[in-house]
Amino acid sequence: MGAGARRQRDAEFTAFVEQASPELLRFAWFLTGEVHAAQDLVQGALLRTYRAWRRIDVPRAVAYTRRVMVNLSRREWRRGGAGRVLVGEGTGELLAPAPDHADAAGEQDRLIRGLRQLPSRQRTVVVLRYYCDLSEQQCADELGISTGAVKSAASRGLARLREHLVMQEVHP
Amino acid sequence: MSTDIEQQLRRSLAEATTPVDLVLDPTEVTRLSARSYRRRRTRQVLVGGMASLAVLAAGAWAGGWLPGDAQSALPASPWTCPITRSGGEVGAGTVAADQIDGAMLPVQGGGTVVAAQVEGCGGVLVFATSTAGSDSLPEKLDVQTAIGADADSSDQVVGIEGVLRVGDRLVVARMTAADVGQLTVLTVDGATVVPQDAIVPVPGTDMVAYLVQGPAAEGTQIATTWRSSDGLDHVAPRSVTSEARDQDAVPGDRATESWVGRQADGSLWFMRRGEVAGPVDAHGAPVAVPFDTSHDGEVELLVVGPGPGQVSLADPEPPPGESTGDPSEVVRTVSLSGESFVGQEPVYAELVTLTGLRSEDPMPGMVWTPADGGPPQQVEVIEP
Repeated sequence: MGAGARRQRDAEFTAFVEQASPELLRFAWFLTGEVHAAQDLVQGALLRTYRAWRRIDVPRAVAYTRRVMVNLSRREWRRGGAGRVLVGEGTGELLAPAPDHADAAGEQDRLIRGLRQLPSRQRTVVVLRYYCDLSEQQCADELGISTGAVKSAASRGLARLREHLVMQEVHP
Repeated sequence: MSTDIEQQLRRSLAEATTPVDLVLDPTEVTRLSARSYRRRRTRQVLVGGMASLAVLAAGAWAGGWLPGDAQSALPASPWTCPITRSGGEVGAGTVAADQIDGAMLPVQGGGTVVAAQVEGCGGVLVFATSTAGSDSLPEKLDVQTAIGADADSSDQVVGIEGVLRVGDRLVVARMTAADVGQLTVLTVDGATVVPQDAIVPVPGTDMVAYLVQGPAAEGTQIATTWRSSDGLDHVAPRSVTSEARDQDAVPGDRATESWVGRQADGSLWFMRRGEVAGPVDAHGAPVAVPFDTSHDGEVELLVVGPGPGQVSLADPEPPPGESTGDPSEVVRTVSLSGESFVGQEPVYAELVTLTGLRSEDPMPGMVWTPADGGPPQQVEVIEP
């Protein structure tokens, strides 16, 4: 590849990062619960996307990067156990508002905090379904699991979130 | 209700306030990516200058499967590596069945996983899959995970693992140190014992391979327990939020005779000398799980309290003037060492040994006395 082609690729990739990184960072933030971990995850995934840039359809680059992120985060989970992903209440990373302010914001806060308590797969499925707005089939494709497993993980995740909300109402 | 929480969740995720420092500099990202790419290309050219090397690496890292540690283990002589890329962007490729000598692991309901070290690939370990049975493998197998042989090799049981799809099933495949027996995988749904004859040696390595199948492959894994040939019991936690072990267990070592782990939903798992019980929902109250010993009239209990405290018999002394009270007695109470992840409540656990139990008697009552001077709480004994 000549210098001109490299410059063009880098320009295209930079434009892609500029446009896609806010969404990818939020996705990573919901997965990891930590700002720095989210940045690391996105940076690592984008590095792999860059390597594959010539083979990727640009309209699918976000989906490709997201899939790499899911794979990377699952590997981190398997290597690091719960400590890496299930960050505790004390880290104060995920949301700034305290849990006892206005109702709507408080409910949002509780839900997001509840998300952090979910096991890795349930959290990933819930974020893909309800943040990325993917269908069950699309989730299954991204995660490499069956649609039944997606349904099960989503259902369990929602049930746990519901329990979390109830518990927070009783013991805020 | 379900729709309500779905809508709440969509709204909350969409409206959650993004931290102000959650940003990346696109120019810097491109600069770092380009530099990494150039270094990688340079290394590849130096190593072999052969396209097949890039094919293996590209397939693996495109799927997010190849950790950085493993890249150094890629083939020094790529022209001898029988793994070829299958064409899709995500996937490590295929390998000819007659070119690998691996451990055959049958998948429940049909299919096979082959765990093997691939000759000519610099010691790369693979999990290759076939939807056919082990008696009729096709010429080519899909390579679903490729990893350097030296990556995490000191990390028994959880070291080398792949979550694989075989047909419409998911299985978890693991290659571990050979010194593994009485293996049990704990998931949110229960404990799955891996039959000893399903743990098979991987030819050409000092490792064994096995599959975790069925619901255990789908569910979140809490921990793995096993016994090594020296008789020591081990626990490798996977997704516990806190745990407690024998006080004399070496930090960082997985060998322990007693272990209690708490999973994210608060349920507890108990292990005493290789015997496992759980999950137990404690509801924040003191609970105990009994384990038989080889001594008549003796039982050991792992007791978990809601906070710091101590366990004792509810009424250890017989009423004045009576001599027919409960003859059991606590002969030993040992606190376990708790460890928790950030922000999580530690597990407060004690190992209690009771003696003098008569077979016709119920388990004597016990209480947990909080260290802060609060009122004693009845301990609920959960029979496994």
